[in-house]
Amino acid sequence: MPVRVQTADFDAGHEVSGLRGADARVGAVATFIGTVRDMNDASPVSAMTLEHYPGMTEKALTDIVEEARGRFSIIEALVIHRVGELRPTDQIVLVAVTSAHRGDAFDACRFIMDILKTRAPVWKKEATPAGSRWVDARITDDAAELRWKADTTPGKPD
Amino acid sequence: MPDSRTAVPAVTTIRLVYLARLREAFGRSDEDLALMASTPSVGVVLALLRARGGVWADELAPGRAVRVAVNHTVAAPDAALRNGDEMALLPPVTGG
Repeated sequence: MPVRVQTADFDAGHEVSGLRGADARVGAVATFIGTVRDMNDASPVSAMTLEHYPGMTEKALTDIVEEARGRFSIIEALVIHRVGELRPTDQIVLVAVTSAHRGDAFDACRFIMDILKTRAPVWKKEATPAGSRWVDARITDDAAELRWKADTTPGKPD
Repeated sequence: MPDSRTAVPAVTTIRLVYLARLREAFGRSDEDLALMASTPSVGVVLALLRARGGVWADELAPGRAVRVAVNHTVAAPDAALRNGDEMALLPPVTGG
């Protein structure tokens, strides 16, 4: 399964080994790991709770991986998104992509992450000294997705 | 067996799901809604919910960034709803 939503932590090295397997076509592996910061919007963050919409999250992530397969020449892709309570320095998300050459692996990895930010039904609630608050969606995330929309040929956004 | 030609109103029952901030604002995570309209749409249901007033009218006011998914796929206001559909109201997502 190229997509997992889980509360448990992940080991990127182990996951990449599994993704590469013994496939000698693979010449490039790109990974992205998102982690919890201790600061957001000028407030210290002591913890965050990630909530998602079970069923739709898995479907949305699967669709994004399929879209990446259509746009880039990739061999395998894996997305792991954690939910539940996380603390600063914890890992949140892993995207790993294998391909023959680095360009497709880099581009597909960034594409999956950019689209995930605007389409995966996942929400963060932060614990701050002033109480807990739902994180606001970022305009920059929409801009990142739009760049891919405007770009009809494979390649990274401007 | 009821005769389909008699005026038995069609009832479409859908499951509404509220996520994240909307779940907290509405004080519930889901509910079943029976609709008398024979061909209800996402927009019809949103209008019904807004008509409850208070926090419903505030959170679902036109222009608020609320997305709707029907059976786990993002849907437009004119999307038709069928018996047993799951319609979810999603605030702007902040995962990753």
